[in-house]
Amino acid sequence: MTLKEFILSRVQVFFVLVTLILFGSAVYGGIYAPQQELHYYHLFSPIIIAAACILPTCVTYFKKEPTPLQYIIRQIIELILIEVIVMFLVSPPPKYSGSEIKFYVGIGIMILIIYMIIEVVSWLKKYKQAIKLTEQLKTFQTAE
Amino acid sequence: MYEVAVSDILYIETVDNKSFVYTQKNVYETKQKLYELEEMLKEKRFLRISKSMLLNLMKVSSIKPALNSGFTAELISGEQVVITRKYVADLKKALKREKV
Repeated sequence: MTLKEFILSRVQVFFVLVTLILFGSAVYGGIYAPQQELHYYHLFSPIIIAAACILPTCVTYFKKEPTPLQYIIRQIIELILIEVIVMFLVSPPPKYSGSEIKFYVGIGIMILIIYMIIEVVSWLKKYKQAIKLTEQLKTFQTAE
Repeated sequence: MYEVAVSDILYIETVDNKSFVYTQKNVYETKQKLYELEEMLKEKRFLRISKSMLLNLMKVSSIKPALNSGFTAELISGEQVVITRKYVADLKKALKREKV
């Protein structure tokens, strides 16, 4: 992957993240702080958090081809950095009914779920690309 | 000294500055460098898929996603070789018959 392709993939991930954070916030807030009123400026939160989450994803950019182990290690580092950044950015809403620990554990689980969804989506995209390449290969071989 | 038919070659790999030609049954060492072989075989449907490997596209049965950023090519022999991300764009071009 070239740097340009990597940046483009980060932009795609950003928009997926905004959607998933918005969805996750709606579900989580609906359960634990349903009476909380939001203002228009709160709509910026998913954008800010998604932008902040994109920064640590740079650790998964490799100039040289990574080994599967190196790739997995970088992914774990990436997830930890995202968890830390989000925990730093968010705080329990004033009308939150549960304990602070419960809030942060919930946020941590939500980040993990969103991260897994992003990984599955990326894998499916790559899988689709591999199927397309195999089809092109068959056409290439039969044309010879 | 052996003569190997180009159509029998699965892939050519360089290990410790030595080039090896792999067929379904045998492995042959050649004195030629990988870049020389690449130049010689580019019209024969061979493609560079990593820093150290030339692949005969006619011997690939499928392409699968790899855990890291590249892809894996499964050969008709059942062997799997890695297509590094740097050469994925060249593979796409080659399959569309564009000049690599």
